[in-house]
Amino acid sequence: MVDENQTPDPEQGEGGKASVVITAALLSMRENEKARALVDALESAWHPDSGKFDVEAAVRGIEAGLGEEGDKPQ
Amino acid sequence: MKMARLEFDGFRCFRKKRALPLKGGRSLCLQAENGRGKTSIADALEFWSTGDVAWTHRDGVGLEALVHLDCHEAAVEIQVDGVGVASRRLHGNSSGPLEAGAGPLAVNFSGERLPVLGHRTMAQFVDKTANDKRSELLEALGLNDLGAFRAGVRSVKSQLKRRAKEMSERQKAAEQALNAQLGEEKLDDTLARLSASAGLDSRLSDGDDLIAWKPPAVQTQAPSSPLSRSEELARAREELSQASTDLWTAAIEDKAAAEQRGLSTLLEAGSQVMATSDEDRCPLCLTAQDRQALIDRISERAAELAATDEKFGKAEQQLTAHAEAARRLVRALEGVLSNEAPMEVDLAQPLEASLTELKGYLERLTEARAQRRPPGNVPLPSAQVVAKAHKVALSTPAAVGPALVELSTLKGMLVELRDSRAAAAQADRREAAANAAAQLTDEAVERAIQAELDRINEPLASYYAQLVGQPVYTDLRLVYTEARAGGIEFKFKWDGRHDVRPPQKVMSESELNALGLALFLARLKTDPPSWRTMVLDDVVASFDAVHRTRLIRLLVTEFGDWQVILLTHDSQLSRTVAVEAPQWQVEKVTAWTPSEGPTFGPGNTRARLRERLDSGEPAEELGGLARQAMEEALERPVGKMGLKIRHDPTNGYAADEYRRALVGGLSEGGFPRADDEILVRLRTDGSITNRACHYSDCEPGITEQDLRILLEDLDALDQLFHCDTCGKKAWEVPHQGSTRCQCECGELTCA
Repeated sequence: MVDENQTPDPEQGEGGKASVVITAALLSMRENEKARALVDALESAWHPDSGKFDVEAAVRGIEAGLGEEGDKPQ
Repeated sequence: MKMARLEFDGFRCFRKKRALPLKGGRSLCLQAENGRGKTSIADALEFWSTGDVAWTHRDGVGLEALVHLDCHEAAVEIQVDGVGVASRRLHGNSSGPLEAGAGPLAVNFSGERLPVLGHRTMAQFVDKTANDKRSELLEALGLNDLGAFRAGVRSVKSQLKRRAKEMSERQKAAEQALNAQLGEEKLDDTLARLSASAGLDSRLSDGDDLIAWKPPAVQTQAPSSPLSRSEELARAREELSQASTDLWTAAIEDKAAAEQRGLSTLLEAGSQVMATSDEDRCPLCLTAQDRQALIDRISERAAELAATDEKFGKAEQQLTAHAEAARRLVRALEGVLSNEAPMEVDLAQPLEASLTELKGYLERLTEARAQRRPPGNVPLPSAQVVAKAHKVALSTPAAVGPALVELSTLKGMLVELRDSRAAAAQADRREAAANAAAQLTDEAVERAIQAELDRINEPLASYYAQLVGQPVYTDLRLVYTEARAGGIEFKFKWDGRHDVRPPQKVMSESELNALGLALFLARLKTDPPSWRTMVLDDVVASFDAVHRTRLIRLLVTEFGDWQVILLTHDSQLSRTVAVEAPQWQVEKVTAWTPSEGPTFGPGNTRARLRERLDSGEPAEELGGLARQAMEEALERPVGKMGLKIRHDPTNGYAADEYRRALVGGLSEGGFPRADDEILVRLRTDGSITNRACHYSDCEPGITEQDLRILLEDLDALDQLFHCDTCGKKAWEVPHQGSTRCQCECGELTCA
């Protein structure tokens, strides 16, 4: 139902809460010295539209992204 | 937005079209006995908002169960105050869209589910496990995606941990293989020894030297061309074939030579006999004239055999030489197999097989020579094997080969060790990164969920306290944990001393129901839907009168700006609503028939009495209703002001008992209007209604005028407690100092 006096804000919908939390979690990983190497792979594996996480894609991304030095992507 | 009118047609028990107006979008308390349409209304509102009703999915019931048995389709129409009308139809199992009907404004509906709480849904939630509560609440809070993300990160962590373990085991295996290869000897010493044995130009001093070392071309270089090997192989096969033929020839000649030697011996023996004998007879055949012929024949044969003796000797020499060559081939082949470099491993299997052939062939050759017979059908060994063995035997010194091979083997092991250590280190870094990521995810998720729960916890605790008013339960809240047997669960302190979780451990059924109700209301408060309407369907079944009153007061104070649709079978609750929430509309299902369905009427008895009088109903038929209206009107101020009333366990309170309590309490309390004449007139009204109720056959009977006067007096009674200055009731502010209650400005007080 839409209240004619109040325009609904999609950003504030219930699905947005989870995305906000996940975005914040990924941001904290970027700031962490150990975890930051994985963030790109985890972000690409997470599909917010469907709410699914592709574990295999994340692992592939991690293995492809981390070089001999460990923290820097090749 | 508030609902102004509800209309049901053919929906469940509403065989015919029935409308329920909600004046001014007010909240509604509808009282109906069991089976008279309460839940039908709740279902209608759910169907109207979403096009579906949850319980119809159970047991294969289907939406068609919502259509009255005598109808083909059903419809629910709602007029939204100031906006317009929208309806939804149901034909069989097919639910239609929400259609905006005529009205001054277009109506947009998003299909948002109307919040409905039933008695079963309330109890069902409390009985769920902590994990089920978590699933339901996270979905309701819009946080269920967090679970999928968190599970994904944990799976990544598990896989990387597994990979790190595999790499560690690979490293360990490489170390063990190298240690087994070296034995007691140190690597540097081994390298020094092998460097010398292999005749390397520069000595290998450590592992790095060995890894950088490239084996020489002689042993590890692949044949320049398979064709050249084949050519060598062809020559070797030809030589062996010739050797076989020679052996066969030699064997035949060998046999002839033996025969010749036998005959010579026999001839010599015969000649000696002839020389010493006087008789003219052959010692073999005993015939004189054949003796000379026999001697001639033996002599002739002996000459033939003597001519082949030399040839036999040569054949024997060839056989000996050929056997020696075959032995050399076997030795060389064995050397190649034991010292084979890794790059030529593709020949290992055929080499081994052909080694067996060669050995067998050599044995047959030797046997044939010893027995002076042909070797038979001996298959020749593999051409490739022979060519290689021949080449190696001729070109490679015995000691160099094994040292080079061992160096190559060590080199491979060191390379594997280096690679496995690097892989293990990389896997460890990834695992550490995944651990950090998983921990950060866990913390973020737990913080987010607990933050949402904390938003609910404050109103939850407040509402529960207002509902139950039990001081033994404190610090009530929902807590979240991902630990084993975790989830979301209620937790509180009992008597300030014991932590209790889950609440089923100590709470009674009614207290648990109150908990479910408090949570429902708390969720609505923290995340209100776009239009503030809720439906409560028979939620007070397990509540006593005190708790029911508390619920109504809670709804009035906390959800005063909401539209509440409260459905109940309890007439006491509807009277409580009339007292505690006079701004609400109180309706009742006054009649129900299978053909007509429910009929609505004012739940407020006075309003119903007035309506029936206005409709022309005879006064003598309204005695009971009049008496009930009077009792309700008197009960309200007595209850609100907490006045004492004589308790009669065998009978309900009669109107006069309420009146006496009212008069006595107001007088004792110094109420300014305690001597108002209305309190006297009500005594007469009570007598009239009593007589109308119990002595309806007596004269004079109750008249319409009596009832009209009664209604006026009851209205006047209401005004007795209404402050003209502040406009509030005399019980607006309870218990201040020695005052039992007072209005807002204090003009009306009662001690």
